[in-house]
Amino acid sequence: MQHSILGIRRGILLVLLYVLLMPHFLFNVQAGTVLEPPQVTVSGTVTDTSGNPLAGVNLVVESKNIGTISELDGSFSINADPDDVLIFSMVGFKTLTVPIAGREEVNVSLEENVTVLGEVVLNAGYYTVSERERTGSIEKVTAVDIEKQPISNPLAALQGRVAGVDIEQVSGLPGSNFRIQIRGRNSIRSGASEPLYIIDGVPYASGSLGESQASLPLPGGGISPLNNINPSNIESIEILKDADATAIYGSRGANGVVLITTKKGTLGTTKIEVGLQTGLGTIANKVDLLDTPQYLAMRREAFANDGIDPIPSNAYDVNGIWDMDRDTDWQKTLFGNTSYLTDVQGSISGGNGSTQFMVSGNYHRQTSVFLGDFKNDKIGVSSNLNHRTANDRFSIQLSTTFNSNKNQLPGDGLLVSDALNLAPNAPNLYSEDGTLNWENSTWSNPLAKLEGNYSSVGTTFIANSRLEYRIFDGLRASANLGYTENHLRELTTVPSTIYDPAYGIGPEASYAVHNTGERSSSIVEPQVHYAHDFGTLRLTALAGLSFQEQTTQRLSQFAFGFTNNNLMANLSAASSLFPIADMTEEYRYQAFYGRVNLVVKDRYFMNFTGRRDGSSRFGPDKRYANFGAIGAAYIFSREAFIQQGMPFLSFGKIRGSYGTSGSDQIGDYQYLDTYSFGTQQYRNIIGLYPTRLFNPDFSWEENRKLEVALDLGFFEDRIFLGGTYYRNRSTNQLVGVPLPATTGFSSVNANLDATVENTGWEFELNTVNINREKFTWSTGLNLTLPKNRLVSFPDLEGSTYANQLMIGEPLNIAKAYQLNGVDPQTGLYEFEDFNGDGVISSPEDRQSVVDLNPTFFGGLTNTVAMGKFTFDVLFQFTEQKGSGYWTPGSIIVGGLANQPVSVIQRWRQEGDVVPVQRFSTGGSQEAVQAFRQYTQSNASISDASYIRLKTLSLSYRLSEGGHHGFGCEIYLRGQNLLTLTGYDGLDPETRSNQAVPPLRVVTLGTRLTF
Amino acid sequence: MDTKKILTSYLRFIATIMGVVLLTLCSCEHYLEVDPPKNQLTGEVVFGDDATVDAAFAHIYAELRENGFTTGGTQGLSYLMGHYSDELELYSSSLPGVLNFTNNTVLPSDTGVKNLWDTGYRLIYATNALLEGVSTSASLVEGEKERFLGEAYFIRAFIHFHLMNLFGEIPYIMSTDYEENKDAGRLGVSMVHQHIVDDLLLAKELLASSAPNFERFRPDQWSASALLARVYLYQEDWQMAIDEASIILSDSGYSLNLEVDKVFQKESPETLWQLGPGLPGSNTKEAFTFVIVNGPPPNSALTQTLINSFEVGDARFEQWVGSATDGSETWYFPYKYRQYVPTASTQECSIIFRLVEQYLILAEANAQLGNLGPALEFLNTVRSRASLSPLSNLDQASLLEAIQAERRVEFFSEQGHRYFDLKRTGRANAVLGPLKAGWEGSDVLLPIPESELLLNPNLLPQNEGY
Repeated sequence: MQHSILGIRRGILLVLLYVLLMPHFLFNVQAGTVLEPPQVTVSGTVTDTSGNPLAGVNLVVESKNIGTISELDGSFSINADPDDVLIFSMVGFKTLTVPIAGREEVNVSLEENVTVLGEVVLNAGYYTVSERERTGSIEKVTAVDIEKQPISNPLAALQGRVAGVDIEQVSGLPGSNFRIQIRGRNSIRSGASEPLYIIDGVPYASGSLGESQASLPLPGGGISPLNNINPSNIESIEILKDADATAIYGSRGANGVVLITTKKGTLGTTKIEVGLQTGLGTIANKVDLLDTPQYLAMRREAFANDGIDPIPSNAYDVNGIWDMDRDTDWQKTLFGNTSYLTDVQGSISGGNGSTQFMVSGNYHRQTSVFLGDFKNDKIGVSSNLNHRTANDRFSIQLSTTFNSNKNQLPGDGLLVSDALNLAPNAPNLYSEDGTLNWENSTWSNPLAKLEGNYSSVGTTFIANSRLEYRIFDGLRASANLGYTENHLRELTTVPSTIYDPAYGIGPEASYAVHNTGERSSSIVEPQVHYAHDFGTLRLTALAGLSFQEQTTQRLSQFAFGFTNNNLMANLSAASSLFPIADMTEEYRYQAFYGRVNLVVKDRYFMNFTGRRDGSSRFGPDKRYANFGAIGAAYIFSREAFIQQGMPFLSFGKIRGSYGTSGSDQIGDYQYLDTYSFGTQQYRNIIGLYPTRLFNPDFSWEENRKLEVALDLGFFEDRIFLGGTYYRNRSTNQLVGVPLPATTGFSSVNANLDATVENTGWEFELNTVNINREKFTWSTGLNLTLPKNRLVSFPDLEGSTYANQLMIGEPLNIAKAYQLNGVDPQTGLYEFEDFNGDGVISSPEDRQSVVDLNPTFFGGLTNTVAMGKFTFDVLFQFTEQKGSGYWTPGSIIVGGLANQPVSVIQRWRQEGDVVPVQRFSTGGSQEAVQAFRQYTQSNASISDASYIRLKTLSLSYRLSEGGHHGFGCEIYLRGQNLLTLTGYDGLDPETRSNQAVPPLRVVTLGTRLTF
Repeated sequence: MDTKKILTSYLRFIATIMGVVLLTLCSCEHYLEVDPPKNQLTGEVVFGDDATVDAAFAHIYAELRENGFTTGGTQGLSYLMGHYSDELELYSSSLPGVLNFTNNTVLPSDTGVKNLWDTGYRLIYATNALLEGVSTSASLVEGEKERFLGEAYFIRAFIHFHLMNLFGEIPYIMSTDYEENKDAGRLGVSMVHQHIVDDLLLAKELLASSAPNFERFRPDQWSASALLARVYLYQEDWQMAIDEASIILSDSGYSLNLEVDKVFQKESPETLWQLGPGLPGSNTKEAFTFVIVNGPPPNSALTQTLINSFEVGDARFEQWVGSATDGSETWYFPYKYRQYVPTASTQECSIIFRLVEQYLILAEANAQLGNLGPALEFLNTVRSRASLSPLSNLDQASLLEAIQAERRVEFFSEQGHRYFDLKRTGRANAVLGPLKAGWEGSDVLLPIPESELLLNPNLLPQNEGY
């Protein structure tokens, strides 16, 4: 506690220092500028080519420190010398240079910039850079694309749109998480590929505050705070990939940085915008399973094969206890319902040249595909205010966002696997009297799982402000102040009614898990920016400090001993309570960083960035590390000989970068030797157990990134082609080294002198195919060819990773048995006996290596605008292999579980040459063994490649809106409409028999502007 | 413009920035100092006070109750080895792992096997950490220190003993050093035995002078003796077994509970060591797992062969076997522990050592040495407690057979006794072979978990038959 007060005091001290020191010499500078007063007042108006006034155009007097912004009616007025030159610029328009030439009124019209590249400005975090002049690898996705998709997680908006970024949805449940990997997996340690998220300059921790014993229904580690971010409130998402862009984020940049910028108020008359959207979602795919006659035939054959006769009394499915005429499609019954989606957005924005504001709100609801009343409700409010003083010296930007995310799901995550496994003739779900049917205790009714509930309420509050003061032209001081708070409340109930009444269990055995988590984080980042033109040399520099403090608290309680199941949400109704977790973790972070950017002749660009980082996650001797990068670019199309010799080449740039960044994603306090409080009591004493094997000396993981890229624009940039090669090498791997159980633990944290390399090619092609007044058509294609490789690993053979990794192969591989087919004699699966000892055993014979990384992935977008119609389509594609239908936990083919229809091609008699082994109930050891080995063989890995019609959007503008009028647009949108795949399980993206596959969603909506 | 003025202010500005930077960098070290987590204690704190050491032991006992091989749940020996031998029949279709135990088709990749192994060694680590922490602690009181050390040696031997019976040759782990333990090799059974006996002798001595054992919720010197007697019996060191068991009978103060229906109650005078309850009022996991309210059985029921092995009039059949019916068919289940839901105050706890075992050890060891008279007397004491008539006029072979039959009905569904008895007396093949289709000679040992062999090649080769 003392430390945090100290931290805040230090932060305040810094700000005070700025406030006290700055004006002191600013005054001097101001006095300096007053010495040469301008001569005349020049005024005029700015319009577009159609004559509409343009507000907010930046206007500067060339080589002077004077500037202004055009008013709502396009008018401006500025003091300047009669021989001065005025420069008019605005995003989306070509920059115009106009000499005053003694005039007092200057009227100009700006031409729209129709090229693909435009004058896009990229947010690089601590600074901005134009798309054309960047030296680093930065990708941008804007609101225009995000809004076209009926999604509720911002990461979903990036799928298929950004080269080098591999994003997968973990499940189709509302509120579920996404896996993201930017340029491959850098760490041997799994689950450490998360990029750094920054929202409006404030780092946003993406780790879940969930309690694993409570958030069972959500695969992928509990509810992610990213779900609390409203995608429709996002103006743009930038992704920083290479060293040049990420080194300034130092130790947290290794896995890339995702910068989220929220919408800001814009200049103009007050505008009200309302969006309404409603739609339906269903699962896009089911597995084709056996019907009852096929299933029963399989079971009977299995008993016959195992020599079990008569059929045992507990084989209810096939001994007549269960009705053999029943045939239920359990997938349809248990998770085949329709999910309903409703989304409402509203905003008010406006402002004049010096002050702009925006206030917006949204509501989003989506129900689930399960039976029962499960839903996800999100509500959000955000506001934003920008102000700039009249003398253009001081500016302030304030943003606050509050989001609440309420999720209700079944209390158990096993409904999907139940649906796949249940015998098709399993009993009815309900008895005639409407109660759950237990069929005399012969089955466990899957709907009993719905008696238990999971509910969560997550809230996020983000506030940030950016203050900036122009000390003199070229030198600015700024401070970025941010505060984030995340809360999560979870409740899982397991009432006694989930059990078969035959157990005779009443409410006294009901229990509930209550979890509350809270994370608050504050950041203070004072900075100075300097820019100066030395003739042909332009210098931009930045230096800054960063202090970040994050506190995470969580209290999880196990409550039981209820007198009534209806009281389970209330802790005070439980006769006994005990804490599962009660923890507080502190994380501190501080850094010093800087950037120097040099531009020579507008053609040669050099960018130096660096950071010194300290993190409390490491032991006292290992806290600090330095990171840095160099980036360079050469725009050769600005050379006169290119402009003359190759007029078709409108843009040409070659760029490259090299540098380091790091990773500290290891969790807090890992270097300490501690005991933790257990969940169990003994004689009313709570147990204390050794938390971990400890190692106080582990330190930062280092990532060296190299990149070379070529960008070409043809025919006034109507065709724009980018190609990038990257090579990232991660060393000093921070690893939970797996250990055999004889050590008492499954791993210990240590740095390993192993190297992991990610190389790849990224291509982007953007074209404006047709550009007429009433018809435009543009296409975008991105393609990534990634390659991941373990370069070195000292003594891999002797290490605990010997059977998991191979030098020269990717990290994500499966070492599997190699299936040689079904032995026509025995009818059992046969595997390659690699060591020739006559026995198929692990690990010796698991030598077939299967690469589970994608070989390529990408997306193809097309946008067609025809009159009042706009049509957008996005295809996402991946070529990869992945875990298929049968996994090591699967029930043997022939056991009491349904199977895909492909098992029909099984072995029946000697001489059969077939792909599936003979049916067995599990009573034959050879058959069980062969099946288990099959699930660990290369044959259990399926081709999980797919092409997916990810997004389709058709919109029609009923009326234009524009500056003063009423605007109305109606649209039809679809997500995951069509998937082409050869995958043998539920879905090639989730590759799980437990997760609901991504939903096919179709929505209809309208957007009104006033 | 006055360049000089600008320059001066510029330099001043730079100086200020540098000042701020320096100021901050100097205080870096402090900024990064964070408070320790409030839910964790450092090792130093834990071993500084007997209450926290008690809590560290509480964790081990709670784990034995909930997750270890001693648990009464579906992961424990009572349940798993009951199916693996001939005591229990599986009815649940949702326990595929147990199905493999029932069919004797256990695989090295089965999670049930991995859990037995992993939990065992995890608790051995916790025990070794206690041994190291307690022996170096400066602030623990002398008498307390001995009790802690004694208990720790006992637990280490207790866990290793069971792992050895399940897996055969195993590593004997005696430190917390992971560098050493990650490459640990398997020791011959006699070596493991030797370590177990050494640890138990130490434990016995350290615990001899120590304070009461809290409602028998913590092992005392008699627990150490009881295990030692069992170890000697398994080793066929008959005389040592007799000596050890005799002392317990004469000196421990425990006595047979003559009320058969109360043997498994918390206050039973026969109990040497039982696992205490978690929450006030909670009862055993055994009862939750085994008791059937209505047929057919949701989990498992006793096999007909076991039911048939009870003699007519055996009070244990009356009191320790329950039955349930669906109207037409009847199923039997272990009813030693009856309270399957919490009660106002705890009534039953999972019992690890019962005094009656010592009687049967004395009977068996004496019979082996040819002292048939005393052997018969010990056996008949147990029989008469169960309202059975005394046996007489038995030759050595028949007597030994009678003792094994007695053990079967006395210890059914308790801690895998039946299976270990079949295994140690070499009858597993003869008894289980005809009963179970999947039984093979090599099934007397479970496979070493596959994950373990992958991580530590020194554990190779895998047990025969897997």
